Amino acid sequence: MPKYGMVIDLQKCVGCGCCGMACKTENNTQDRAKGQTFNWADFISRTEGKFPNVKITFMPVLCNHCTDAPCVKACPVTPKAMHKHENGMTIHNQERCIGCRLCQQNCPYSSEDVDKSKAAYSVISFNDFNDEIHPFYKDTKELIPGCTSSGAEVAKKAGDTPPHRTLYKHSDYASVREKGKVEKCIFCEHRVMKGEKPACVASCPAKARIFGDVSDPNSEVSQLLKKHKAVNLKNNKGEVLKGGEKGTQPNVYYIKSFMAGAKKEPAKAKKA
Amino acid sequence: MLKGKIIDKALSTAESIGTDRSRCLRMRFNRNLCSGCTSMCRSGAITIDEDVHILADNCSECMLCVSACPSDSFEIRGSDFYSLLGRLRKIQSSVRTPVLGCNIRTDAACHGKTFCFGFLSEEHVIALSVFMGDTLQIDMTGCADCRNGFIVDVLKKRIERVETKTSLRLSDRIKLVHSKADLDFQEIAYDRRGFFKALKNLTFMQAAGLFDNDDSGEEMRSYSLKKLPFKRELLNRALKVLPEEAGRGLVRNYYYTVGVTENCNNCFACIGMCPAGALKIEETGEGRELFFSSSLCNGCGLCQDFCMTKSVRIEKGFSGDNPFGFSNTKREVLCTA
Repeated sequence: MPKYGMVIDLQKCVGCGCCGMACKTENNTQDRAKGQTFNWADFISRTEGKFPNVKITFMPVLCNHCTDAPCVKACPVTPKAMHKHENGMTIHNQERCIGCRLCQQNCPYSSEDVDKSKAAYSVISFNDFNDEIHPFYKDTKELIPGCTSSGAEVAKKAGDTPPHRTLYKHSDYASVREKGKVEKCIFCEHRVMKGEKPACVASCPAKARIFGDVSDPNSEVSQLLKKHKAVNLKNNKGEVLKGGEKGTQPNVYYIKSFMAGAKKEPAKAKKA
Repeated sequence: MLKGKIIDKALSTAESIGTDRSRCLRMRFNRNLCSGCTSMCRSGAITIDEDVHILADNCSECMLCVSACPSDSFEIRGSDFYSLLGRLRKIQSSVRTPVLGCNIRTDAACHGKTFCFGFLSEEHVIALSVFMGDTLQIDMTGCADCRNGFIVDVLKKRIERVETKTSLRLSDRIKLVHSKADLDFQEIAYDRRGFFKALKNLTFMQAAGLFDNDDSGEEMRSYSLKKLPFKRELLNRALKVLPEEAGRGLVRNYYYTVGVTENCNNCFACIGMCPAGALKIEETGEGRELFFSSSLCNGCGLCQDFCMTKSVRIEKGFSGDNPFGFSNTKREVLCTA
């Protein structure tokens, strides 16, 4: 059984944000609202210094699919809604989720409200009990009155999904989530099972994201991890785990540095 | 299609109790220690691990687990209490004291047959007494020889408990009949028209049973789905028709109040935990707050056990004006607060 992980080559990453868009399209995640990001593939971008000595750093972030996942430990239901698959992925089962948000509280990479906690990102997002999910899918209001039709209407007439909606099936999660439940990156398991790469990996124009089996010494990810010193993120403020610190044993690794021409290991992200 | 259904029906196991783990308090919250069903079960047929299992070989179908579960994790397949109630009420026009029998005994004559009387919870007997205009006889003449004979005592105690808690005089309305001599069974006299009507009804009901979608085993049972337990639904119906005085006794003893202290940080995790949907968020002038409806609460206490700030409190009895409405939990008056 493989143990999936991801290596992100910060030197190759140009900060275009394709991964984020690909993820939003693939997984039909909602727009950021009320302190919930709904960005399964997110990024930290940081501009430091004073002109002309300005420095920009960019770091894609996503669920780390930790080996020692605190979100799984916290989940109060039986069988756990947030659970580990044998392939190392941390998967969220929608049917069993009751929306208590203990996972969000316990994940070091998540916040219950990113705005209030001033976090850079949150891996786990929560769909409010009362708010409609993707109201756009059901919205029958014409974009231009008397001239165009609505997205919902077009979808109905064409017998297809509303625009920007991808359909897929998985035994644990749905392509669109429900009210009162959490959601997070699932490493696109529905794609991986078909032999495809996760949407963010497939879409990266710079090939900065490498997805594969970290337990196989011949895989590309293992080779890269052997060749380069890798770091893991420590929290959702951009700090990284220092040598010796294990944290929650994340399975997303960062190699090299975002800085142009930088030979040194990634600059430790300072607090913004 | 019909052929397949008929074969399926014929081959399906005779287990009459279905389980739904999404309702079970211990499945919803791993630190919950509810033992309502396991402590009630005399044959040790119930195990709870990653799911709720009933060992069909051990189960004597006394239905005590069904009546003990606060949140409807068990469901008697093919039971419809409302139609049974309706039938008994209808019979009252021709027979003064209808007889309710159980289907473990196939020989006894009765006007309505149901599963072992163990499923009759306190809420069920309240509903029976409220909705049966006159006396109902429960035929327990066979219980002495039955493997589920212990049900006699259980049911007696349940009736006593309702009588001590409320002003309802159940023993006047529900007669537990233990000896054949006391049983007053009157045949319903069917005329020709009545006979054929009954035959037609029976045929339709059997046919309907074939077509209904009871593939509940494969149905996705979502934990987040809110479902009012049947017992609570019965009580609510009874409360609506009871005179005010008797109703007050019911509300005092069978309804609950949930309130929160000022420590509540409005995380609303309790809403997700509640299996029955008694809690919800409402927008008030001061922002989003937690609202509670007593008529939807089964008193399981999951909200209180789960609350991370230990601010949710649940108490027996409801002292407000309207148990059917939603009210702000911050203003809920708790007796011991």
